[in-house]
Amino acid sequence: MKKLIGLGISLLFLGVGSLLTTQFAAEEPPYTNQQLAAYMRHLATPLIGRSLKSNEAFFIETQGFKQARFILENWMKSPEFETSFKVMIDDLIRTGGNSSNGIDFDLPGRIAKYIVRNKLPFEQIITSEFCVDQDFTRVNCDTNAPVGAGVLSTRAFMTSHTGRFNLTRASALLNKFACMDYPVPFSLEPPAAKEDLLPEFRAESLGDLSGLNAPSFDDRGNTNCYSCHSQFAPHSQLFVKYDNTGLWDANANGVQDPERDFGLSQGNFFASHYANPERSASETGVFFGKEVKNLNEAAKALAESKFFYQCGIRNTLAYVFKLDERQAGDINTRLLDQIIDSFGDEKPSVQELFTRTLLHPLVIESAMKSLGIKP
Amino acid sequence: MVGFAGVLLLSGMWNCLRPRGQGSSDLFNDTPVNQPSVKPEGEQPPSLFSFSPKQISTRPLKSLRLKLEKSKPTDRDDSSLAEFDSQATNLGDYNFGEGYAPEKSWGSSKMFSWVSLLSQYCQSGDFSVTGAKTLAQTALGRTLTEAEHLKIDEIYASELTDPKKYGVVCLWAISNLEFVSQ
Repeated sequence: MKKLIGLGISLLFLGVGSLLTTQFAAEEPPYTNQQLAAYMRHLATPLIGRSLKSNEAFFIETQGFKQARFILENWMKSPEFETSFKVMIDDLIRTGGNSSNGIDFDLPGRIAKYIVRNKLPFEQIITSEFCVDQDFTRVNCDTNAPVGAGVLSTRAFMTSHTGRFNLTRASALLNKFACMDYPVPFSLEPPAAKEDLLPEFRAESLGDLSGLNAPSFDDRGNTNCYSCHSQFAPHSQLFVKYDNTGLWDANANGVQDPERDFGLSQGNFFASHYANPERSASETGVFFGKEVKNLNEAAKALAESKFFYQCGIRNTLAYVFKLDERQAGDINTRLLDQIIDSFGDEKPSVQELFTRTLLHPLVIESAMKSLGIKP
Repeated sequence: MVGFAGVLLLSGMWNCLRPRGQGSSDLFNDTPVNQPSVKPEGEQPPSLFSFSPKQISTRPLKSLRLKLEKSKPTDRDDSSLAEFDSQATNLGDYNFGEGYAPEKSWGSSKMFSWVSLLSQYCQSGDFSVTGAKTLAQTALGRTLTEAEHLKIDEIYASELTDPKKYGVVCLWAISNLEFVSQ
């Protein structure tokens, strides 16, 4: 009896839902409702940590896309989706876990959950000026920096990406949230002036490096230091006041410590790329051609670009379908831009990003083909 | 030990029986997700979006933990997952605070640990054949195939006690590649 009542309530619930979801009504799709149900089976575990229910499969098989959309939107309202987005972000930026040495490794994940729970714009994952405590109350972030920058301004992110000259932190910012590697086209990120940099970073060939305290080539065999470091410079400068445990200190100056390894400043700080001591002590930088005062402004500059959303969609598809770096990088930008266009003028929430992406006709068709979902 | 080996054998056999396209989780690709890199404009591949399997990997352990809970929503003994939770990092869960990165491979040793740690989970439930089939369908998120129905019926026609029969079906369902990777 209980099952019958439950099924009755489900029928009523889903019936009402289908009346409400007319926005995505489209032409005859090139797949059957059974294929669509099979596709949704592949989404259930990554999104809500369970398998597709038999009644969900039934309604998709009998009513098609509208029901799929209604079910997906309901999944996005569940606490399990908050957890799934946290897992995705943790995996992306190598955070999550116990507190260790006073560093709360679960803080980025809580920010991710908070953004989903409150349906805040997706961009806040890197632009929110607040962090959240164990009770999900807004608090200042744990780095002691005056302004937060979402998960970037957590000690967990900072300690997971330490390295000389703050190269690892700058790379993580660009790689995880713009899906780009250095060097990016100079048209997007103009290089820092050669004369402003330490001599080691001005080198464009082996000859330029003679007598300098620097490796003669990088791990890709590249001897043109300037090509990448001219862009590393304004990005890594955003992190110059964060020590190797992620604590921010206004007095950090980024000057190379002559007694320590190349790339290390005094105390627990990392050195700046810039030669001028006044410049090396400033955390101002440039991001995608825009002058920024700090990490928060850099994150906002990134979030204003289409590359941030392209990357967010790539990361979403990579998480859901377990794509590797190459596969995610191969997703055609025309598809990404179509999805971005569907957001309209509003800044999408995490839920909208996932829904628009996973229900895009080309994503459904492409995934069905790759997953071997046949009529 | 023999029981575990039997379950593993059964699991493998059933994976072979199931036609591709019907929840064939071996179609999944592996390797952790991170770090997609963009190709310069104008160098896009012809397809809009495609991927193909390379190696087997599991979903993140936190997702699988949720899935285990949801697979027995009406009959869940919280203590049945206590041992599983205590060994989470050994099963591939991440904890960067203690230096553990996620480990998503799925091989014989992890499969053995997985089955061992979940044996208690499979010792409670509705031990009837209907109960076993319901658990399997809930865990896998699909209707069982005819071959799978026949196999479960065959197990229930054996001399084993009902809890043991249920345990075999339960362990098959939750150690199935489809369960852990899809």
